[in-house]
Amino acid sequence: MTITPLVQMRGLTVDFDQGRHVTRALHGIDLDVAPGEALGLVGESGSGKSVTWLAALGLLPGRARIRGSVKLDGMELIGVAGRQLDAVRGRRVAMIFQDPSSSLNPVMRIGRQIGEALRLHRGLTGAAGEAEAGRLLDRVGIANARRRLQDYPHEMSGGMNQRVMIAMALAGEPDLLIADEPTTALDATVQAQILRLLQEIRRDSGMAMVLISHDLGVVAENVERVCVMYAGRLVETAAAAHLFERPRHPYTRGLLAALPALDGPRERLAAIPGSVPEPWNLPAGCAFAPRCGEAETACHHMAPPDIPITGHERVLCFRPRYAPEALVAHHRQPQPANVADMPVLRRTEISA
Amino acid sequence: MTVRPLLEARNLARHFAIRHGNWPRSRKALLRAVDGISLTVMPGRTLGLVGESGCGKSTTGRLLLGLMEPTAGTVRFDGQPLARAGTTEWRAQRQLMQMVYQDPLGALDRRLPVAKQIGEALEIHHPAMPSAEHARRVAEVMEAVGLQAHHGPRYPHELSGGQRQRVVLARALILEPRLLVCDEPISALDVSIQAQVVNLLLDLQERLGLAYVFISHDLRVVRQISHEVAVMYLGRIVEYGEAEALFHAPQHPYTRALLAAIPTVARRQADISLLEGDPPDPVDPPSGCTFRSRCSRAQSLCAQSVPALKPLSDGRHVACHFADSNTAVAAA
Repeated sequence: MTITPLVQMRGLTVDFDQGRHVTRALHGIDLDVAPGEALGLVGESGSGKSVTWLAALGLLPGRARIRGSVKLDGMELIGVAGRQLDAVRGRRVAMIFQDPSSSLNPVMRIGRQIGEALRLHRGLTGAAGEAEAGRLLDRVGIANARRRLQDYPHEMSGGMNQRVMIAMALAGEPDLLIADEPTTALDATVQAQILRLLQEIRRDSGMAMVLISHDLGVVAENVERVCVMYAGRLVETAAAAHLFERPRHPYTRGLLAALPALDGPRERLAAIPGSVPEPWNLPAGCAFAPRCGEAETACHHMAPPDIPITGHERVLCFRPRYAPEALVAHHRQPQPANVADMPVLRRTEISA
Repeated sequence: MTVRPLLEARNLARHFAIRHGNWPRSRKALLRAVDGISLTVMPGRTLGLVGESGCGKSTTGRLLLGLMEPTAGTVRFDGQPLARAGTTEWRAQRQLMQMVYQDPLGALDRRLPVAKQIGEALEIHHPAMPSAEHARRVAEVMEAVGLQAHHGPRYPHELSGGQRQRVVLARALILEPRLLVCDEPISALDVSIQAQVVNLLLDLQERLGLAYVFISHDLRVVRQISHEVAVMYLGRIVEYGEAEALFHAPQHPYTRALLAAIPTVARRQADISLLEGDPPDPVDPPSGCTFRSRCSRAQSLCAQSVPALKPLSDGRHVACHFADSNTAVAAA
């Protein structure tokens, strides 16, 4: 079990400088992605799931201060020059976004847009580039691929545009595809097609994928391991089968209980009370404590322990379920070193 | 069964004359956004309206409230036809039927405190109401939707997404309507907040006897909230019936495909049959059954004639030439 991770994130933090004060959006993310792995990243809006990967690829604006380490095959990505990152972005790590039609250039034929990616990442031009662009478009399931290269984005449906985005992402033959809510803007039947396409591509190419989604159903059906994020922290990481059958963190359990079922008797939904805290106004202690039905005194005052259950599964909680009691008791001991690693930046401290 | 339907639509249609295609080759065309649908909503019940984007569900919602003139067909509210805009009867009717939109921030005025917005409809419909009574009604309705008094003087941007949707609901409820048309009311909300709003809608229905037309593309939520469900495809209803039966044993191939496409936590990696392709261009739909271009069971008859919405033995209505054999397949 000593596979070198493809991506190794350690203590990744992101602070947004807003002039008068600094807001911490990410509070130290530790995360590994194995080669060929399908990893899901779930959380509500503002939980930091997109920021994590935008930070890793140097795509955040200048007012973001990024600290920590992100290594791709041992190569550090944080703090290096944009030129070096260009060898990674789009080539080794590709990214697709929620709204395909706003990611594509509306006044450029899609053939040229795919060709641009091929020229930048693989040096393919002319007839070779065009042939490869046609092959890619065919690969993502667009009929009459050679002819559709002449189309503009507005001549295609949303689902087709997302296929074009996937074709462009595949142009660099990446080792990792970050799919950030790739189907949220699409209809249910088209969403299912796109997710199946991503599965097929991954199976054929051995590419790793990080699927970012707010929809637990989408994640459950498409990944092997899931990370749940809340208020800028990873609160639970587990194999998909474990996470959905034996959710350890109260927030994960809350999310699952809040989902209406498609069969069985209709029951009142168990909603999580309250709402997500604003990043500049986080509660002391565990950020989820004010909404948690199982919170105890410690949860409101102290940072919860990050308990490793197995090599690939962790939970950030004082009182996790389905975890060995001795392990929990061991990690519940006050560990000043750990707390120091996770500074809770308060707006008042900064502006003072 | 002597209860009178609260809302009844008969053969409702709305066509738009548009220019289709790219200049200079564009031509005049007719977009049949809603093409002859009939619906009934009973008092205190919920009708779910589902379908993919562009199927005409939002246009239907606007037609039901009289916010848009139908090309053909009629809508009756509480036995009366919808009154002409601007008349006294129309004002009386408008109080009893309200709309809730998807994006609460877009539906609210950013420059007015929310309590003021909630009470605005009272000022319009009851200008003579004493201010103490006005304040009492606003406080009452805010409490009913789970807002606290200190939220009143705040502006929309100072509230969370869930709180904003509660403001929109409070504003719709202050005139004590009997019908709410909710157009994707929870789609813009986070997962943990969606359940709160769904529960609130169910509580309000139980307490106030409200009827809902609940428009959504999320079938899981529709099942949670609806008594009856109508499935729309390209401006027509393809299946219509009691929610539990429809979800348990969908009869129309499209309903079945929609249900199969929903990713669920319970059923992992199941072998599901997916629909091919995108919905056809609504300006230029296939002949006969408009679903035939994506249907795995389509035969030559489907291209020739439009299937009528026919009742099945369980009272459900299905628009498919092979509805009966679909049942046989499902049972086998």
